[in-house]
Amino acid sequence: MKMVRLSQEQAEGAFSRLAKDFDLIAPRLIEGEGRLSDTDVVTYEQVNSISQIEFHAKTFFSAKSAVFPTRETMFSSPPHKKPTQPGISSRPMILFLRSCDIHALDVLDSIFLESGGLEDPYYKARRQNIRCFLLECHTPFPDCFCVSMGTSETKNYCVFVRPEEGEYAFQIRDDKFDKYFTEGTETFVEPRSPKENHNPVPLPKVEDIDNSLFENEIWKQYTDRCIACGRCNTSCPTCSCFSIQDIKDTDSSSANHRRRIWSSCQVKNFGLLAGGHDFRLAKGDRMRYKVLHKIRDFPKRFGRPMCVGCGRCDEVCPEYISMARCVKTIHQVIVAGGKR
Amino acid sequence: MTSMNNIYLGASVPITGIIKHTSDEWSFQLAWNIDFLPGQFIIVSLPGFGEVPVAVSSCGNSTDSAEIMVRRVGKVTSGLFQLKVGDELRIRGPYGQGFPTEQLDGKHLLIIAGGSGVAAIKPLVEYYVQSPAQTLKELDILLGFRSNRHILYRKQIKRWARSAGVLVTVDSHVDDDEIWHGGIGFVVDFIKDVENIGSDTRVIVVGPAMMMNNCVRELFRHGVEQANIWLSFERHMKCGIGKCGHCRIKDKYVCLDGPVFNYVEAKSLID
Repeated sequence: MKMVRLSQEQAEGAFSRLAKDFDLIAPRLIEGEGRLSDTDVVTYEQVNSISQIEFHAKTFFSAKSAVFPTRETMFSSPPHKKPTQPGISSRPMILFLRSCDIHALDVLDSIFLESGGLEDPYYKARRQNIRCFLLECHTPFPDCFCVSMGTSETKNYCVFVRPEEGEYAFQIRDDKFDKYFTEGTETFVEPRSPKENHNPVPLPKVEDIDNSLFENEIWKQYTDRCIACGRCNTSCPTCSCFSIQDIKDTDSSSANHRRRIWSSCQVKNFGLLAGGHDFRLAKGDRMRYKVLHKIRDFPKRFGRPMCVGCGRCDEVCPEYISMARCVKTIHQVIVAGGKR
Repeated sequence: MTSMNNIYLGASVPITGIIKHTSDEWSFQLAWNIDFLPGQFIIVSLPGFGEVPVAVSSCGNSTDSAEIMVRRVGKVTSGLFQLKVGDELRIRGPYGQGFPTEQLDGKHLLIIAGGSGVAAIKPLVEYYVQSPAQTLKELDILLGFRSNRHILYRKQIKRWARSAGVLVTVDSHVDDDEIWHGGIGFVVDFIKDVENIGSDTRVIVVGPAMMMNNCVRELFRHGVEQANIWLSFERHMKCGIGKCGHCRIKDKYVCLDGPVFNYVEAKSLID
């Protein structure tokens, strides 16, 4: 396995060679674009230079929109003609991801490529263009619980990159990328991963969570606090529910568009039936639906937790509701034999 | 990506007939040649309006056409009601698990359906009454409608009554020229009139959630075991193929694992 240490200039050279063949999508600090005035945001954006990458902060949103856009047109139906599908770029893309977010891609694969035995063609078209470059978390961020969720390490990457005193160390796992790293000096570099989190979350066993938990009073606080904004879902790297809606043009000579858009189980009407009947009217029931999907229902079906412990939902919630705290509480309730 | 492999696109099929049961409940006959099982559903698409999941209401034996019954309740169904014979719809499916016919053979089958749920059980009834090879020990059918003006499939129900015990009930009888021979009240109140409910009885219940709950409780009173009851669930669905997440209850997707569930499983599926 090739491992090289490159100067800033050499690394930029490697980057410009990569940028010819790939779109490079990486964490980037955008000044003044934070959700409060005079604050910055770290988010996934296209980069052309390695110096544009923010190596030391977690992104506000995950990179899931690279494979599952917030909204996309599925096809357009011109009057009296066959529907047409928008083209999806076949240009390969490199995503600079932390270990938890690479695990999150694995979760999305289960839903879009495995569930029901059919592959989602839009997801597949984007996913097959994705190559992952690993960013390391030498020390965990405050709200992370990746170790608890088993996502703190991964081997599922092509290249690992670490900034080192103005230079960069690269570990090239996938030798197809050797040709981009022709300069520099030989080195040894292995990604470091957190061995424990500041905020460990004991994960209850799937078989220990039964329906008796539904009636527990732990959910009531969420009914009181949650404002059903859906931020937890939009920031989550594995939330993948969507709605399909048609946009009818008022001009009858132009095409109708069918598009899909992210959908949130925390926002009202998620389960609404024609005729008006809805499910989970209480926000506590929606919280229960979401959290148990992440730690019980998805694992039952696909054999791994759906939550990757990135902690984003906890950081974005305007009501300071914590997924980590909720899972801890569930664990406590189970340990106490269902009482709390 | 070519249109050939887009599972969301479906096939374009012309409407070959429209049957207007009531002002808000129409059946659409479609020139659509595909195999499906009683209890499965399809997703009907009307570009510019959207998509809706609908139970196939014709019997899977007829290979060159399919029928669906649509109640006008929302945006897409209102769009469907503007269509005429010759217009085209897009259809994808069939999806989901149908009724467990292999577990019903040789048994006394009681089918209880309410309102538009009758469209969902129609293919099952026709599977049994049209094909002499399909043998049940006995078939009883209890159908409930809001009023005598809301009754669907009058002609077919008369035909079913030749080979099955059929009782049609209405929640209320609207006074008109019809002399009403059926029951008046909720279907659940007529379960006691079904003869020979016993260990050999298998029951399928399709209708509004409240009706299904009440019927199941009444069936327990008559000694029907949980494992011998099946329900068909209605849930919000967008994709029909286990991706969009809307119909998920616990670790089950109604679109993949249902819509028909045995009661033993159904009782644990709390939204």
